[in-house]
Amino acid sequence: MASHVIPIGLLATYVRELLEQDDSLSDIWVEGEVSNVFRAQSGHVYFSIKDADAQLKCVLFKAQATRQRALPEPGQQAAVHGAVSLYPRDGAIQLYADVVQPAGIGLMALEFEQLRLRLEADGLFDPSRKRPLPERPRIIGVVTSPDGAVWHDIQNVLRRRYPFVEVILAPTTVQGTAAPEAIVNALYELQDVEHVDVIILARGGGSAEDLAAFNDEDVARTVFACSVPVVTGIGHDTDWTIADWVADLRAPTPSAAAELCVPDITDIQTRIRDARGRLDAAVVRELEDISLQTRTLRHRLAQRSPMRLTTADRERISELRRRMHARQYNMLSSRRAHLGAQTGLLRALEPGSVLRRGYAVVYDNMTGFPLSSTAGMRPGREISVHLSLGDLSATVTRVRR
Amino acid sequence: MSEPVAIEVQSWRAALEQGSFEDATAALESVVACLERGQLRLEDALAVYELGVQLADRCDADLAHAELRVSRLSMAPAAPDPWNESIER
Repeated sequence: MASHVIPIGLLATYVRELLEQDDSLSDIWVEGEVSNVFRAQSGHVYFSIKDADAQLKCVLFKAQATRQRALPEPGQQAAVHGAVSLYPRDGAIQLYADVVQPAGIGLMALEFEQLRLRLEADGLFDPSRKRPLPERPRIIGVVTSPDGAVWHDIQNVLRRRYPFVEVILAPTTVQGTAAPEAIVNALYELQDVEHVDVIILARGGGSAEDLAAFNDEDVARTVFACSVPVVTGIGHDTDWTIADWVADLRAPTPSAAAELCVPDITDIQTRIRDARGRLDAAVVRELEDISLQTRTLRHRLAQRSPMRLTTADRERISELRRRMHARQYNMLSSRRAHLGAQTGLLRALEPGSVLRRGYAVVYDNMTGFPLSSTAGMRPGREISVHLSLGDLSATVTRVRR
Repeated sequence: MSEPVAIEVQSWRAALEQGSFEDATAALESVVACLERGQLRLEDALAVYELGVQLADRCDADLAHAELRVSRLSMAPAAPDPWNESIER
């Protein structure tokens, strides 16, 4: 018998290490009825799972609990995945769970859920990691079977919607044990082709087993690490594979995946037609603007033109000319009036006209000068009387002074 | 032609003459936007407009003649298969 005593804590630690070293206990599924469910304030969920023979305590820590689609319910038949260890304080063996699933959905579904949770924890489904597809791809890579209708459908959709692209098929088998590796290879091959803008990963509909290759972890991680966006079109609308979760965009069917990758040619035709209309409208408006500017400039130019200055000058000149003429006219007419007056005066002073009014001019015959006084006159002097018509010869008979 | 417009016209012309269909449609959109912004000189506006019409013609011609190009990578078969060696590119 061992003679020495060891502390319980040390024993518990030893047992715990034994349990945790055992690989078969660190990745284990158990199935049974859920009971004693306790949701702690911390967010951890504690419960038990039991079958006819035994009972096992389970804990679902908060981080794992939040990733479950549904939390365990009392009385529910559940399959629980996790690692077995010892909780020293209670001295209890516990299952540290990471997946809790309703029982009876099959091992494949359980593995699917387990992988889904692990990849989600690794950030493979993170919406922020999803890349937008190129608006106008030039080269589209397709990973699918070369034989099925899928490849045919994808070509038809692209030909109808957007025949500008080049499509490169990386043929692969999509079913069977070799499929995951073949799909991974095809994805790598396409990434090596230069200028591939987007990759379609597609498969036609089938049973859950048929789609297994798209639930493969290597396929998922290759899609995640792919250097170009990946669009999945796997099975029918209701099928969701791990590859769908990881892809940048998930389409319900292969044809839909092809549609999502390219714009519609009729949209493009419409845009080109619109562009023509806008082009015409814009150039007309632009020309109108320019013509308006020209008219405005012409107007402003006209306002400042030398022609306009000359016109003003010309007006001033003609005004001056008018005033000058007026003045000249005035001057002439006053002159003319003056002249008329003078002429009248002259005419009045002309001797003939005086004579015609009955006056006479008397000449001294001795001197020949007209007489204007009696000075020097004596009786007997010969004089001549000059009338308007004719002359008289006379002799002075008397002189009065 | 004013310098910024000249540079743009150069890139549009390159898209028209050497670019892909996508380049041509992108250039067309850009031409329309430029013309709609206005403020162009007369000669620039006319040159830009003419280029826009040429781009639209080019796009329509491409649309009429587009044909899907399909090719296939030759993959090493996952499992050796002597009956299926010649998967053509």
